[in-house]
Amino acid sequence: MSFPLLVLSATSRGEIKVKYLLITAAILLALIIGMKGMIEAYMENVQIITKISKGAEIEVSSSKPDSTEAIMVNISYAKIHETEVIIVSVDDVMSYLTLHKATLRGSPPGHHEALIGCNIRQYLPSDTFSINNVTFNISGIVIANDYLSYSIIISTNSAQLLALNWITVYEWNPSQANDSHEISVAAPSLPNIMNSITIEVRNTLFFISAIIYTMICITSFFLANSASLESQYMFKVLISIGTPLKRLITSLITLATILAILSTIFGLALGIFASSLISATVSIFFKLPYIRPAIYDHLAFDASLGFTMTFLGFLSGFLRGLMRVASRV
Amino acid sequence: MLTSYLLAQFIAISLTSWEALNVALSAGTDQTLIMEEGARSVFTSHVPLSLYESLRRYPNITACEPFTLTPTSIQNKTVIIRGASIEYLTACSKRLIRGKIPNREGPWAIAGIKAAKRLNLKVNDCVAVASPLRPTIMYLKIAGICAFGDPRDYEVLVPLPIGQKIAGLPETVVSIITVEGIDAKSLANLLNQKMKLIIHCNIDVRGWILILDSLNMPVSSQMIEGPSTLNFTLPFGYYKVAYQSSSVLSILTEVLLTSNTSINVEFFLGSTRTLKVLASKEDTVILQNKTGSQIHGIWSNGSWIFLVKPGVYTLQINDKSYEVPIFGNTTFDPKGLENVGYKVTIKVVSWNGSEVSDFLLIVEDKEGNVVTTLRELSHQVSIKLPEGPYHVRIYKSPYFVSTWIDVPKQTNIVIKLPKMISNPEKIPYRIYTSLKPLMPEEAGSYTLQAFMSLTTSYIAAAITFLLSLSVIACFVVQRHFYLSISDKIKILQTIGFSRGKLITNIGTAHLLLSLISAITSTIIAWAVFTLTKLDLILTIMGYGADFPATKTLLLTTLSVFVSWLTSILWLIKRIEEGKP
Repeated sequence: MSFPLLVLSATSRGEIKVKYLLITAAILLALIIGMKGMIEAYMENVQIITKISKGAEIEVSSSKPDSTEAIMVNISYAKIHETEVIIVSVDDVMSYLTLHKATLRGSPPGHHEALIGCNIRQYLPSDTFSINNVTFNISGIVIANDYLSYSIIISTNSAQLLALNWITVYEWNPSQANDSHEISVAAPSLPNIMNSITIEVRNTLFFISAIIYTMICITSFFLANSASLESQYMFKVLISIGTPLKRLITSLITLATILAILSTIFGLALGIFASSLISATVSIFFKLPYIRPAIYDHLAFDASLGFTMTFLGFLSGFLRGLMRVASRV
Repeated sequence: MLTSYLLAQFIAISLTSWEALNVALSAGTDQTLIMEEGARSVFTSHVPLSLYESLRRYPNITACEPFTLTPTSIQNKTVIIRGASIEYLTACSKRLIRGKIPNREGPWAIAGIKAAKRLNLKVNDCVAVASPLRPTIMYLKIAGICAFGDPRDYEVLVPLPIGQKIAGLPETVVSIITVEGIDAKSLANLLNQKMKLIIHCNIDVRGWILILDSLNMPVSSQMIEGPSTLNFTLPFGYYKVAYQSSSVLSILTEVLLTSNTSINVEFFLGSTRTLKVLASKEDTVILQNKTGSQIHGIWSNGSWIFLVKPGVYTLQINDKSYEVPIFGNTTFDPKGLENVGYKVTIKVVSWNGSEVSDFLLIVEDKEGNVVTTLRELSHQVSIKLPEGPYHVRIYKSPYFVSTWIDVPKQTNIVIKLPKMISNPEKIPYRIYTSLKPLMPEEAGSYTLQAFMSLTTSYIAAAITFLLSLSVIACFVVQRHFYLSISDKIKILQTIGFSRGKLITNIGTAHLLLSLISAITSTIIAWAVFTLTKLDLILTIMGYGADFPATKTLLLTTLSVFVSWLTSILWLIKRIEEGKP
């Protein structure tokens, strides 16, 4: 009988107590798998909802897209009659209003003329107003549901009269875009928000998983070390009959590998099936919808990481125990 | 030590994430909140803004605020945009650490200090915020950065109309209303019952009695042919009772409906009414109608009495003249005001918010005597009124509206003229939103149950399970500790150490070490949490939480103690079995 087989048979007889090693490592791994499976199931549903929801109708970027007809919009702020307003200058006012689905009551602004948003009309009741001592005539009122309702819209020529700090952005309708661009903001922004929330959840999950993996490694180490110490009689016998240390180490590597594989398999099984079972039981007894944990993309990675951590923990624990026994023989 | 550190860090991260989730789902408030019943979260709730106007007039309620709450994405990071009233935002000046808060609504925002750090926002920055559900983009100027010391530190606050635009809500709807001074149960009783409003109308002409809510939106209507009694069934609210005919819209009275109520209203357009002028016989009192015809009065019982048809008249007393609208029996006291007291500014706007100029202002004291009238050509007028309640009426044909004010509590009054209802008989049947008042601690679990199908007990069970695993992890280490010193224990037993002595000597030292390790681990976990700014990294919908020091220390110590206890019991068992 080869030495690895000898060690394994001793293990099967209970001379090396591995029951707790398997269970503890498996439970910790199951915790990660179950937790991630449930959360990924939610996120999968969210992604589906996001995909079937209405796409963006307006997109904004600070850089000019190459192949799309985007409207260049210069934005600045000013205080008129103690009220903060947005000053907007564009070349083609009508296309800009069409993009924003805004209604114009009046005529497009000429030189020294401006359109004002419906929400600031009450602060600018007369037909003229001044910004930085430059007087503008109001040529129309813009009725809109977005920032235009708080804006003063002037032509690019008129904007040159004002000494303001302008921010330049590009706005376009994505349904008319030929390809995708770097987007700063898109509205409706539901898909972006869902992505941001997904990133947040994954961040938290990453930290919690990292801690649990470290705990798996430490727990496995101490469990294996304790198991070696409890089985010191068997090791003493094996060493005293002249078993080379190298062969014993090889045997323990085999044992650690098998235990790590088994605990990973148990962990995976427990993580997937126990969480499904808990979810199903809760849904039956508490009359809540059943959420089936997802077999997520990184499951194989988690399984490999779980295996690696348990293997390293078990091996180093066994070896430390063995060395301690060997040094006393 | 490493295990207890990991345990402390694990507990801290789990607790902060849970705290952040709870804060996000309970709207970051510690007050009773009202949300729409059936809404899955505070973010999808729709509460009528008129309810806020009603609640703030309810005597038991000490504070009340409407909010919109919208999750948005700025620089690909989630943040909650909180829309709040301008009064609420200007009150944030006390918490301001940078910038200045404007005193008028507009495209500006206040960033909480944590949100500013997380999103790298500075004063005067311009940020583009998109609505999650509508094709609406708002460019907002960061006007200030505030340190609130509560969950608002993680939010961006904007004026209510901007918040409504971002949330995609109409002007008459908000996400939630927070309330102080009343418990959730009493509030639920108040909001969910229907009450009878019985109106005894003494009106001499055909027209419509309209019930308007506090935002002047028509709620119900009934036709009136002459003096009669009308019945309306309405939920709790502050209502205006108006009379409308083809040529006039008059607010007859206002009522805060908190139980079955009966009121009397009168309005006269046809029959002759009495104008009583409190003046002496020697005074020259002349009353003229619109065409300039003079109406003769008689002096009786210390006042001048004029019998007139309803309308607007010019009253001249000696060298002073007043314009007086008469739509009921009226008493005019020319000595009523002596231009002393508090300055009260009254602004008149139309239903769509535009300014209304050239109107007639009539101020009555609490006895119903007209103490002053004046015609104002601009949209705003300032008068001086002594302390007390006053009935302020505005006449601007065809509107005749009124409101009660309390000087000096209310000195800036905005009177909004209602919209003439073109088809009063076709006011649509109103479906009242079913509302649910919740205590802040209930809001999180309510949303979790509705949205994620998780009950608090389910989550509590999961946390207990995680803690049990932590205890197992600690136990493994503690057990190993006793195993590694088994030789020494054997020697001690040989030289005569009894079981009790062994436990006292080794167990006590071990317990002390474990407790010191728990405290040190919590301190290290706090240092790591603070240095790595985990409160800004581990966020849920933009909300983070500070390091939960007390809870982390308590739970880590508890876990370490339980694992110590388990391991010492295990040691006792081994000693009894004769294998230390």
